Amino acid sequence: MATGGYGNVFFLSTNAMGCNVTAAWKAHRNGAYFANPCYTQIHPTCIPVTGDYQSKLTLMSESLRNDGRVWVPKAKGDNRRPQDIPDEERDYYLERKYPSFGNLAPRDIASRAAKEVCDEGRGVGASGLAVYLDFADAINRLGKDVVEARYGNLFDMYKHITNENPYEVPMRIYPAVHYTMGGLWVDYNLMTSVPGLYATGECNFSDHGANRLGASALMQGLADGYFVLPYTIGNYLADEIFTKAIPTDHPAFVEAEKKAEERYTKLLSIQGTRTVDDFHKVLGRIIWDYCGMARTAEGLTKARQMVRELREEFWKDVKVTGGMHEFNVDLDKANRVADFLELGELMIVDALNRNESCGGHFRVEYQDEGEAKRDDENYAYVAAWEFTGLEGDPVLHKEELKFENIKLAVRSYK
Amino acid sequence: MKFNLKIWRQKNANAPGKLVDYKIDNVSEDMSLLEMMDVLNEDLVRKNEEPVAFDHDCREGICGMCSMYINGRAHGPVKASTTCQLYMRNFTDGETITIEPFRAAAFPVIRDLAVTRSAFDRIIAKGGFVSVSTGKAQDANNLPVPKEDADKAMDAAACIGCGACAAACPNASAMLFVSAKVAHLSLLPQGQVERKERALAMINQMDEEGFGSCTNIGACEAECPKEISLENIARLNREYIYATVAK
Repeated sequence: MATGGYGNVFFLSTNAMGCNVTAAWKAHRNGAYFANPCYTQIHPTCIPVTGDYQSKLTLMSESLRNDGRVWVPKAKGDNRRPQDIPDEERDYYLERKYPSFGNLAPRDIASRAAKEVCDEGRGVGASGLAVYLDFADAINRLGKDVVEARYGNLFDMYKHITNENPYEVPMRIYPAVHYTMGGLWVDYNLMTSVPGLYATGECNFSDHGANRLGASALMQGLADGYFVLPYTIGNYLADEIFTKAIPTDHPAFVEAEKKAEERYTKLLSIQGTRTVDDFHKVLGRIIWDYCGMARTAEGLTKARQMVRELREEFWKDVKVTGGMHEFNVDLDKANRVADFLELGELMIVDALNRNESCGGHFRVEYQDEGEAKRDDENYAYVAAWEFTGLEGDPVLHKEELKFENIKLAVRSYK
Repeated sequence: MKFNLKIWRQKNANAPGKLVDYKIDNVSEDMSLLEMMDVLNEDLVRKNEEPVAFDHDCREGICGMCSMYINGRAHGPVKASTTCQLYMRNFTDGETITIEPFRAAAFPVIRDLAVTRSAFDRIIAKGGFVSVSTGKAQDANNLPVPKEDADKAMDAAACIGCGACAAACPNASAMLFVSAKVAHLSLLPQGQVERKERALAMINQMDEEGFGSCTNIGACEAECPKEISLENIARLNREYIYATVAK
């Protein structure tokens, strides 16, 4: 499987609209362990939300932080235009808090810092959920031509979307869901806990740990697809060389088809009052609020209950139009959202289990003055969850993380 | 903002289609056209009507999935833009917006505004790849590529394969698409191994799919969301002749 990540559980993300967890989730329900589902990357430089009709969020490349300076006004509720706010009344908070890394602080840190200043009431734009990414200094220092050569396409894209010219006014950015580090558990050969089922790329959990760094998703695509899989999958296939093509009247096919048909029939027969997107947006909001950039045991416990209730409501009150044997976009969406409603709970369970902060997983209870506080003694493991039905709790399998050549240490960006 | 929409509705490839009128108000100028379609579809579902099927995916102008013909133009009225990158501020309040699928014999309608563009996939499969030996990666500085070639290859590689060129062309020719793919690879060292076979195989497949011939009209270049230049077609013709002669 190379079926990508599950970031669209949040409804709003930088993922393409078609990305979904269905294939990975079906594998999980059929025995494949799902590892570290709570590790999601919230990318700091995305175009902020403008309204409740918003369907997706657009990523402005990380590279912009090479020359752009991130700031908010020092005073709460400062409504002046950015160009009217003098330098001494601006808070270049990344440069202030992380003088050695400044605007290039890692994504999880930059995202949390943006949330923090917005939560303090110092966010900018109509919603107050945005910070400035300012190129005025870079344009003064390098000239507009150089900035245009470096970032022209991104500036055009920004202008296209927001109708504002970033050469003249600072960009407004806010964090958005971008990548899911968790995924199907795989061994070093990229095989899941189901013999013969291999998972590569974003749909597996490997490579990134709790905190993906810039460009490493591309690296994983290459590593998995180019350097690992060609040398490992053959070991499995070698034993299958005399296995003939499996006919589609095999009992497993028949059963799978029957299950799918039952599910579609059920989805189409509910004929409730709420649309699929309605459920998806509510789910996304729950996950974003309680299992997003900052998580607490209390919030997660509440969120788990909310997701369970929402799932129950979905199967009672969703409205899906059209028929089964036709090109039906509504049914397709309903099928995806039904899976997200199950995955969402597992993300929360995982986040609740991990009583530490690390990378993209920030538990408010575990911090040193705003910095993530790991607990290597108790949590230096991969949490691989086994599906046991939706009623009870999934079973946790721990894969211990052993470091032989390096010593675990806390990385400081200050 | 308020709009009158005329949208092509067609149940499947074999059913007759027609333009259906819809009215929509409370549209924000910051909404994208596809977000307006989402709002319309939500309303339709609530009224127990079937939503309008349309293709979309990344919604940031890079995947090539969205494909509407808006007010008589592929990807609508804004130059160098995909449908998903159209915002309602690009239209006038109260305007009537006509939305149809991409039309070309080789792009049959699946439903409403969604068409199948698998013909492009089959053309790519015929030669839009390079063969590379696995193993140790070779030193990146072994094969220097002149900046001018790299830039031209990059410009051609910007093609997202959306099909606007074929939809805009009165002959439904896919030459701009094929030329971009051939030019991109023939300009780079990696593309040399299959250079001749590629030009011949891709052109052959293009013809088999039923795309029309190029008569140098230039509608493709004018409507291309990625501004792929007609120069690529000249390059494709050269590649084709070279491959035929040198075969």
